[in-house]
Parts: sequence; C-alpha cells; structure tokens
Amino acid sequence: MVRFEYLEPTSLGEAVSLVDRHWGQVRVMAGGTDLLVRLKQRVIRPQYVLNLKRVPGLDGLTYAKGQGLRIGALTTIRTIETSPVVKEHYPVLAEAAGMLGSVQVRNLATVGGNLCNASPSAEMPPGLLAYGAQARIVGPKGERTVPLDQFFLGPGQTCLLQGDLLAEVLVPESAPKTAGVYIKLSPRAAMDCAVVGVAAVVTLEDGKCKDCRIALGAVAPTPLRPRSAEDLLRGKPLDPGLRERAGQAAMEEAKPITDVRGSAEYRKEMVKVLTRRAVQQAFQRAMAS
Amino acid sequence: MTATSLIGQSIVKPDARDKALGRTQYGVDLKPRDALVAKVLRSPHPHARILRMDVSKARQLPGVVAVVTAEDTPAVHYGRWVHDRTVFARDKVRHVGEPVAAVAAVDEDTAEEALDLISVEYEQIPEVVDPQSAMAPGAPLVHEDMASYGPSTVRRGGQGNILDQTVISAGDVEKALAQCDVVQRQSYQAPATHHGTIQTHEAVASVDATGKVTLWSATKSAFAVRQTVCLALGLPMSRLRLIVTAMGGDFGARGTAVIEPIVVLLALKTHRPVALTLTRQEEFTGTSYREPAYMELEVGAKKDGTLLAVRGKYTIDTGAYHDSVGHLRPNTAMLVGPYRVPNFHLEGFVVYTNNVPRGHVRAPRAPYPIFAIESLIDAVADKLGMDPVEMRLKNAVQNGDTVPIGAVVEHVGFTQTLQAVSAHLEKEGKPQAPNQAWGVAAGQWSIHPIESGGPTSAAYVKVNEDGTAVLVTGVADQGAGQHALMAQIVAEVLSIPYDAVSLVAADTDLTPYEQATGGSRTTYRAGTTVRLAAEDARRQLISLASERLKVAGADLGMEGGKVFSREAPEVSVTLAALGAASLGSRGGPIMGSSNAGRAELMEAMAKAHGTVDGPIYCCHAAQVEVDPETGQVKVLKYFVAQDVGRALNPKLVEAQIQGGVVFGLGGALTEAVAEQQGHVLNANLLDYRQPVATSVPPIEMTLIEEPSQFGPWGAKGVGEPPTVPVGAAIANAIFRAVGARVTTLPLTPDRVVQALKNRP
Ligand SMILES: Cc1cc2nc3c(=O)[nH]c(=O)nc-3n(C[C@H](O)[C@H](O)[C@H](O)COP(=O)(O)OP(=O)(O)OC[C@H]3O[C@@H](n4cnc5c(N)ncnc54)[C@H](O)[C@@H]3O)c2cc1C
Repeated sequence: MVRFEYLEPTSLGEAVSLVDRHWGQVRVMAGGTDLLVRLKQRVIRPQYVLNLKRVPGLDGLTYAKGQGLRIGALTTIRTIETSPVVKEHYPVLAEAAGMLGSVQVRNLATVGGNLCNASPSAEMPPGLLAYGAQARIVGPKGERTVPLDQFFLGPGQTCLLQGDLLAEVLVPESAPKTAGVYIKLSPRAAMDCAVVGVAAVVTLEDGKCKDCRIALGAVAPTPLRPRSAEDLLRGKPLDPGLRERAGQAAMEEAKPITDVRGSAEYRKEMVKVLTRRAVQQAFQRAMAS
Repeated sequence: MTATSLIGQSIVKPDARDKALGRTQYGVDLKPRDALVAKVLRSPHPHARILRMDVSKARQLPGVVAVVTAEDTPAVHYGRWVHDRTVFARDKVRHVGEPVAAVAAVDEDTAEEALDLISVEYEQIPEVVDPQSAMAPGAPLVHEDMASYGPSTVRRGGQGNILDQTVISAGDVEKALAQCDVVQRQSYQAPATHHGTIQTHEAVASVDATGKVTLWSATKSAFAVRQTVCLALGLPMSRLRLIVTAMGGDFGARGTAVIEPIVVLLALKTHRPVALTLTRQEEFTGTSYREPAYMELEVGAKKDGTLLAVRGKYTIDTGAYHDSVGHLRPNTAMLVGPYRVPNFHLEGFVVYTNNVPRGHVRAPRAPYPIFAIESLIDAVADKLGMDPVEMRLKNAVQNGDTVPIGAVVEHVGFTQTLQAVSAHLEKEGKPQAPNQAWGVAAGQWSIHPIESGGPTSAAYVKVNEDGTAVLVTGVADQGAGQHALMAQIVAEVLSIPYDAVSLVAADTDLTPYEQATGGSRTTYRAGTTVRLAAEDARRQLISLASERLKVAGADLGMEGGKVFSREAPEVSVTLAALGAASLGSRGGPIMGSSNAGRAELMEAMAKAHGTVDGPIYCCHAAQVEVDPETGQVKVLKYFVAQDVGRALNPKLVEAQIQGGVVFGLGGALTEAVAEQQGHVLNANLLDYRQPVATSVPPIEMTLIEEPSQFGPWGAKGVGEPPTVPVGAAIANAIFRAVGARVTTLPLTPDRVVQALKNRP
C-alpha cells in the first residue's frame, strides 16, 4: 500500500474543512470496500486518507410517516438489507442491498460509499432513483439537497465539489398502492457485479399506472432513468403489450459498453427483457398491496 | 486383506481439523521475524525490447537491501520441461507480467516504493496473441533463437512459433466419411482459465553461515522445483533444501518453480531470510495456467449409431513460455473421446504467443478436446434420433482395445459408468418443467503409455520400538488427503491402527525422491511404492519373529499388532517387542524401503504388452434450467459415475469428485481469463468468476469399482477426471432444454442468447 497520512475528524465541520484543505490529495473512507482495494493496488495514491467513521450523526436510518426515510451516509448496506422499516416501506432498497457482494462486504460497505464511488453498476442507485431519492450534501459553503438523478456525472464522478461530503440520502414517502422491484442480472449467483440492474417502482390508481419510475444500472456511464419508458406507462393500464413497448423504449435509451462483464449488445437486449419483467413484477406487487 | 481391513474405510484425514479451525500453519505464518519482503517488477508490455534499465535509485532507497536483475543470474534457460525461460527478462519481455527485476526490503511498502524507482526503457514490438496469427508466415517470433538456449532446451516438433506438432491417423477418413449416413462438423473454442487457489504463491528462503539455503515453498513437486532452482541459479543440489509447507489449494498451480528462483537469489544476495507472496493480480500475470484451445472436428456415423470416422485439429496457445509436461500425442488423441473409431486423422499444434505463459490446471489439456467431441457426438446422436447414452454405449471403448496412441487399455469400466448414468436418468425421469433437461457427457483421463510419465518414487517405513511406524515419503499433500491415504496403506500392510502411523513428508534433504503429487497418480503410483516399502518392513518383522518364535516365516500371520503362528495362535510376539528387539538384533532397526513402484508397474505392463498406464473413464449427467430470454443457466442436479478401480477411502474419493465437478462448473459457466492484446482484464476474483456456494447443485454419484491391475488394491486415479466432461454435459443439457448449441466455453448467458438466435 502507498504511504499516506491518516486523518480522523470527529465532527462533520472538521471533516469538511480537512477535505476542503487537502482537496485533490485526500480520499474519504467510509467502509473502505472500494477504496482499500484501489489503494492496495496502487491505482490511487492519495497523500491523505480521511476516515469518516468517527464523525457523529452520519449513521443510521430514521423513518417518519408522511416524511419518508433518511439514510445516513455511513449506514451499512447490511443495515438496509435487514431493517424492518426499509423492508416494509422501501422493499426495493432492502432487496438490492441483499444482492450486494457478500454478507462480509455488506457489513462494511456503506450507502454513501456506494453512491459516491459512482460505479455505473452500483447496486443502490437504481432503487433509490426509482423511489425519487435526494442527496443531502454538506460542504464549506453550507449544505444543499440534490435530486439523485443529478448526483451522478460519469463513472467515478459525482456532483460533489471541493470540500463536499455526502451526509444523507432522503427518500420520500411512497403513495398508496405503490410497489417495486429490483432485478440484478449477473452470471454468478452471488459476489458479482451487475451486468444489468433494473429497478421499477409503480403506483396504481383505478388499476392504471398513476406513476412509474424506472432506473437502470450498468448500461450507461451513470445510472439512468429511461424517461421515455416511464412516459409510455404513465396513465395507462399496464397490459403486456405496453410493458413490452416500455422495455423497447428503455432499451433504446441505454448506452452500454462492452467490458469483461458483458457485451454492449447483450446488455441492451437485457434492458428490454428486464425492464419488461420489472414493470410486470412491480405491477403485480402493487395490485396485491 | 483381513476382517479388520482399513481398505475401503473413510478415515478422516488428519489435517481436516486444523484446517476447519483455521489453525493450519501456511508459509506466511512461518516467516522468520527478521525476514525481508520481496517484490517483483513485471513487464507492462506483451512484447518489447529492453533498451535500458536503471536500478540505482531503488538501491539507494533506505530500507532496500537488494535489487536484482538478469545480470545477477547465470545465463541459462530453464523450465521444468521445456527450458525456454530465464529468471528475469534479458533483452526483451515476452508477456505482460514477465519478471524484470526484484527487490528485497525491510517491509512491503518500501519494496513497493523501490519498484517505482526502477526505470526501464522499453521499445514495444508487435505482439502475436492468437495461435492462428502466430503460425502465419512472417509472424513476429516470440523466441527468435531457441537454438541458442542450450543443449537442455527441448525443442519439440515445430518451427517458428510452433513449439510442437503432431499427426495421428488410422484408416482412411476420407473414404469412411463418404460411407457415413450422418456427418457433423463444428469448431469449438475455449479460453485460458486460472486455478484461483485461495492461497497465492508464497515462498520463504533462508541462508545459513555455510551458504546452505533452506527454501519453504507450498509446492507439490519439491524435487522438480529444487532441480529447477538449482539449474536456474547454478547451485549444487546439496546447497538447497526445499521443505514443503501447507498448500491452500493446488489445482495444477504448484508443480513448477514460479517464484522460488527469485526468493533464493535474494536470500543469497542479502544473507537474510526473504519472503515473497504474490498478489492476486500477479497470480494472473506471473504464473501459468490453462491454455486456450481451438478445436475443429468432423464426426461421421452410420444410421445405427456406429462411429466410423473422426477428423480433428487441436491448436493450443501456450503463451510466452511452456510450463506443461505436454504430451501432445495423447492430448490430441483425446479428440476421438473414449470411443472405438476405426478411421481418424488428428492434428495437434502447440504455439507460442505473447500471452501469459500456460501450464497445468486440474486435468491439463483434457477438458477442451473432450468438450468438442462430447458436444459433437451429442449432436450426431440427436441427428440420428438416438438416445445419447445409447449412442455412447454403442461405441464405448472396451477392455483390450487399442486406443489411437497405439497402446492397449485394460480393466476398463467405461460401459458400467454409462449404464449407471442410464439407470440414474431412468430413475429421475424427464423434467416436466419448461426449459429444463438433462444432458450427458463422458470423460477420460490418463490415456498415455507408462514411458511418458516418469513415475519415480521411493519410500521408507520405520518400525518404532513400541510397534508404531513412521512413513518417510516425498509425497506432498495438497489438501486431497494423500498423506492420510499413504498412512492408511502402511497401517493396512502392518495390520496396525491407522493412528499408529506417523508421517515425514516432502523435504528434499530428508525424504526420498518423488515426482509430484499430480496427474491423479499419487495413490496409484506412489501408493504402490509405499505399499512395497511397508511390505518390506513386514517381511523384516516376520523374519525376526520367525527367529524368536522358532516358527517358519511362511507359517506366521500378522494382525492386531502381533505376529503369531497360524497353527498355534497363542505362540505370538507383539510388534512392539519386535521393534524393540530389532534394535539389538543382527539386522538392526527395522526399516522397510522401496523404490520399486515404477519397476513393478512397468513389469506388469510389459507383460500386458504396451498397456495404457491406468486409464480412467467416467460419465456425467447435468440437469439444467435455461432462461431463454436472459440465457442464464441454472444447474439443478448433477450426477457422476466414475470408475475408481477401488475406493480405498470412499469419503476422500467422493470429496475429489465433488470438488472436480465444482471446478468443472466454473470452467463450464463462468470462468475465463479475459485477455486483450496480451493484457489480462480481469485479474481479480470478482471478475474472474469462480463458482460460489450457491452455484453448486446437489451432486450425486455412483462409484464403479473395476479394479486396476496395477494400483494398490485395484485403485485408480480419481482427482482429475471429474473436471473433464462438465462443460460438455452442461452444453448438451442446454441443447436438450432449449435447442441451442453453444460451442465456446464458458457457456455464458450472452452466448446462450446468441445460440438461441442461431437456432435452425
Ligand atoms: C468483494 C466485493 C464485492 C462487491 N460487490 C458489489 C456489488 O455486488 N454491488 C455493488 O454495488 N458494489 C459492490 N462492491 C463495491 C463496494 O462494496 C460498494 O460500492 C460499497 O457500497 C462501497 O461503500 P464503502 O463504504 O465501502 O465505500 P468506500 O470504499 O469507503 O468509499 C468509496 C468511495 O466513496 C467515497 N465516499 C465514501 N463515503 C463518502 C461520503 N460520505 N462523502 C463523500 N465521499 C464518500 C470514497 O472517498 C471513495 O471514493 C463490492 C466490493 C467488494 C470488495
């Protein structure tokens, strides 16, 4: 591993000012499951590593009826996977969390790390996007809240500016008759990154789709909302033909690449299949809710 | 064998408990306190000339004790088989990951920093990365001047980048194909795959004041590695002692000197202990592993399913260096599978490229030709509307047949394995769910004459004064339970309890020579030597007892720790008494020995006129479910029938078969080293996808026991065959489930979807 200086701030203010001061030379560490691998492989060679774990108030889940869920950036993936509140109100997040890596990885990995690492194939963004989540960012000039679909700029790139830290993710309350699903396609049954990930959240009214959000992982430089597919479905009964067309529309929006995890052609095709399946499963779950 | 025989008993292997409890001491645990840490600088290019190298800055870094390059080694080429490599690249690098220099420093961070300070100026030259281009006229040469590598370099049949080539034929293929009712033709491809052992390569070396080096290495071939290191560094063997440490998985990874020459060189330079552990990334560029292969195959049969002709071509990409025993003739002959085929014409090529060197992985070179022939036989059966097992039964190789390499196979239990699969499928019935089906494939292993293997070994069995025994053997245990089995053999011969035998093993100064723990040959061959050594000790015990009891040796029996008169069993003496008495006897302490395992086998085989050395046959069946939209394949059930000759320790046999199938599942479905212009794109275990627990279906098996004439108590090899047919069994199951033939391994969802589109 490269030599670095280890920083361990004990307040958010101190953390922000340290990150600001050493910007460009500092790496923030949460669970370290992405960061440490890259450090050991000397892919990154920071002068400072700043551990966030001693900063109070960044950890944990709070849910308030009517207001939604607040997820502290340091909340572990395992906490989300096993939380009764998340399972009841935001089951897609628990589902996705349960598919990330292994239990050992999930015990260390955090939501903040998963989002800030900004991998196109990351597990948590699709579900959070489909629930319409927002990111609360704290920086040297104060704090701001950004819709999650403006958070990702490219592989490894987010909208965080000099000195910024992700503090929290806010997930709004879902309307009645809302349900969703996350489907992860990967060649190996566990311990694998998504070749394609699809989340869909559907709200029904009078048997029709009142609202719908779809989010795709691993098929573009950032997690993607295929708006044309969502527009197709909104206000309509979710019959098989429509679901098929939504899949087609999502496929046309996907811009995947070929890499060791899958070819671009295959990924594109799977967007069609999985979007159709996700919408169907979300629809069935919403009918049953 | 007696009523209390240990043969056929599932004795628990002694290392199981420590391994389960995490107490096993591996090489890194033994690292001396003052050991230096070594790191290797590796080539970033697949093919480049080294114009200039400057290590002075690295040498000056505080904490660095030594930096070594090609200049610090003798100008020799070495290898375990083909002598085509040097410890460090000299004038050019031939693959990404080739060692260029190494550093010993006080800690890992310093060693890594030192690597950064070494500057190497390269001039990249065009690389060849696939055998087809490498064989084309005018292709860049990987080794321009092998003739200069010295007299010990074994250059095999080829020219240019072709290291070796062969043709095997019989009958008249052209004519036979014209007479066939069905002819099927297909090309197959399979990638480089990696052992992926949990433990990466590690070694520690230490030098004493007299200059004697002790090397601790997790190798299965202590003697071959010693020889290679001595050759590479110009050391007399008396100056190097290699002690084998616990192995965290082998699967073919631990048969050659990989990092040992570097560690020994650094220890000699620094006069300090030096430890080197490869990173996971280095495992993928700094070792050698299964060769990608290309198979072209044509099979013709009569209406009734009789195979008439096979035409085939088998091309292997051996990378920049050749780390394989590589019997190309038997490997190429695998293309006809375990079948009687009167007419065949088979060509085989081994070709150098600028890819990472290739070497052994569990069942070297068997799975890919078998994938080809077993897929194509299945297609022929389908075309004929014939049951795939019946088609195989009809053509199955039988006792006394001469196989394509020109030797005879005996004690063949192949038909029984096919019948067992047939019975199992009958019992299971056809899956009713959509997109589910069973597929079958047969496999074979060790189809070569004994001359090619060089199976030399020796063993001592010492009887202690209390009647217990010590076995001294060169056999290394890579986790499969070889030590347990060797002790079991000694205990059986001496009729003493299993735990009355202890073991000293795999130490080049202490234990006698042993070829390697490999090729599924350890029980079969080394087991024979150990049996003979134990029998020698037994003879000495009987002879001493005969003197003391005044009973002729022929009238004495041995059981339950005693030698007794068969006529009057109360006339007896304990082994303890004999062991003690031997110390003061004319003959001295009892020590049985043998180096005659090989002799015994060869003699028996000579009598049996050029017989194949312990052929092994099996048949597998896999039940899969295919998602026709995503191409995902789920293996629901798995069944193996294998002829094991005699299951000396059934639990160990079952474990080998289960492990072999799991290994095969990886190669069948998810494992491939992704290579691009000589670079490895997935040098980690996240993207190089080995099976995980949830990938493994229930594995059932039937053990066929058609005794071998040569192995101890009829035992045959076990560990490698179960890996061989898995790819074909699953490919055939996919075809039966959804009608798509995938002809490239691994059978990824991507390829399944593609094949579904290409369905006729
Ligand atoms: C074996 C293995 C398997 C894996 N499998 C999966 C998988 O299936 N799916 C998947 O999505 N991921 C997977 N990952 C990746 C990783 O575990 C996740 O992305 C994880 O959520 C990262 O969280 P972390 O807390 O460990 O992040 P860290 O490694 O600590 O940080 C990741 C990045 O985010 C930055 N960062 C972290 N927190 C903040 C913050 N609050 N504000 C600003 N920047 C911040 C860091 O500076 C760093 O750049 C796997 C990793 C491993 C090692």
